[in-house]
Amino acid sequence: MMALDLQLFRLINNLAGRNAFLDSLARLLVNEYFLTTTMALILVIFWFEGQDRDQRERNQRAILRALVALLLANIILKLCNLIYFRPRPFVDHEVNLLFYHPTDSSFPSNPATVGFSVATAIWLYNRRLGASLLVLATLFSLSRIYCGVHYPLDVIAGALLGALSAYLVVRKGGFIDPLISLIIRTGRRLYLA
Amino acid sequence: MQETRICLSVAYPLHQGVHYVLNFISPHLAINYFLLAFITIVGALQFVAARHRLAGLTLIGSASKPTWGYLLATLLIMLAFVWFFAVTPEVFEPGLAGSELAVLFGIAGLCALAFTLLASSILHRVQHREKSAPRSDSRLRHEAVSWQELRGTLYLPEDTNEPRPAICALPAPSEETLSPHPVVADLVDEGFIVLTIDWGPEKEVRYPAMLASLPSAVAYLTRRDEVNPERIGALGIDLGGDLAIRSAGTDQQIAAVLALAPFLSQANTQPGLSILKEMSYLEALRWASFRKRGKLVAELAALDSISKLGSRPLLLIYGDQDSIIPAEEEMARGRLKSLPGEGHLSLPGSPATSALVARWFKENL
Repeated sequence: MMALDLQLFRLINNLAGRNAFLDSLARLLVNEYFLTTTMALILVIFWFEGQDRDQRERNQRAILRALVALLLANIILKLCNLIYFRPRPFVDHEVNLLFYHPTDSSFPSNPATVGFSVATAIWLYNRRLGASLLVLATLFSLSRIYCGVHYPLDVIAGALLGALSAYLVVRKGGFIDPLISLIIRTGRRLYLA
Repeated sequence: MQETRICLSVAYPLHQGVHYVLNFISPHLAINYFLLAFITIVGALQFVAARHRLAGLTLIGSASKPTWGYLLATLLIMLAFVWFFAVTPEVFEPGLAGSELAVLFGIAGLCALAFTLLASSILHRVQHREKSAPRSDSRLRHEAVSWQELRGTLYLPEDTNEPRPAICALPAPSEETLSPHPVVADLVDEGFIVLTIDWGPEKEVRYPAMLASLPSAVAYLTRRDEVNPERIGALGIDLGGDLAIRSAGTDQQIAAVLALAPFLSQANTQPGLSILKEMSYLEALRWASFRKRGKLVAELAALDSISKLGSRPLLLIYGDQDSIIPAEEEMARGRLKSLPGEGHLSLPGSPATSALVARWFKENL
């Protein structure tokens, strides 16, 4: 399993350093600021989306559930980090490193967890926007392998963790509905929802 | 060189020896990210304003010109990212983690929202001041009315040699008075006598005391020689429309009722975000400050009174751009006319509305 993981890592990471444009693009996507901020801005716009109050409320519920999914995924991820530490690829292997040396555990991938938790939660409400966010989350995750800071297995685990958290919150998280309704009601009173 | 760190103190221990600390790495990075988030969120809000024609969010003056809004949004977002990556070399070093990013993005979001709402309100106010030139009613023959509890203004046409049909006009209580108003002038020009009722201060508008105003106005009008007591109608605007329908339901002397954008349902008094299509955020807060509106609409229960009007003529007029009351909900009930291009606020002052009101009363009163 680990051998396959390493093989797959090499397949993607060996592409780095060959094409200046691809490297620049990967460096843009791999950092913590560009794609996370872009996804957050998409959610800001989605908050106001909808032809009428009911449609808007559905979208706002999706966003609030996505945020709860993100929180849940992060809690699980922190717990995983406490019980299992996997060194980054550049610690044990020679890699094409296009990014700085993160010191935290490689498994599961934090960016994949964040991206997929939000994207999946939105996808469960709105297929079109959700698919776009899933593309962004995938690019975010692939760039981490391309730049040499994550193994493919880290990313797959992060994506599964994010998706599972989103599924749990959206499909089984009815108990948070009163809180979500309160937030939307307050927003509506303030003419912001 | 010693690294500058901003730490918001140790928060809470998650595990022995592991502490969760907000570490903003460097003031330069934190400030730059805050500015990036602030500017891009302002840009995103401009996109929203352009897409949904939200006058209360736009920073370009007119929400009806979405192209400029989209352009401004694109420029703000793109330039902010270019600037951030150009001046922040720390982007490719160990940087902000998710919690710090979330905190900075959240604070920047609140600041951007407050900035946008305030700046848009100021712009809206400046533009509105330029556009609104109040129409004078000095050319109309009028006299102040103070009879029992009734306060208002009586507008008379030039020729009152024979008894004329009369209309009691009820403004929205938040407007206090309907004088001067284009619809009044047009009705007088068509030969109607118009008595506009003044509510006085908002805090004094109460149920059931307000139910006495229309019967009192009708009683006053029947005492006037210029008025034909068989031809008295009621015109209500906004909540005044609800009151006109309710009062006409019990007062058989009111021969015809026309309501401009009445609420009919309490749910319509909580429009949410849509209200920003017609007014700035500060205006919306002022509109909301009349807290009794929802309660009064429920107490007046105008919808229930419609059936009590029997065969007497009734017309409800809404603007098809009304962002407060969704007219289509009431469309099925019949006796409803929708005016294209008008919103809740613009409807009463529109020349098309005045013409329609005057024509309708001429045909039905």
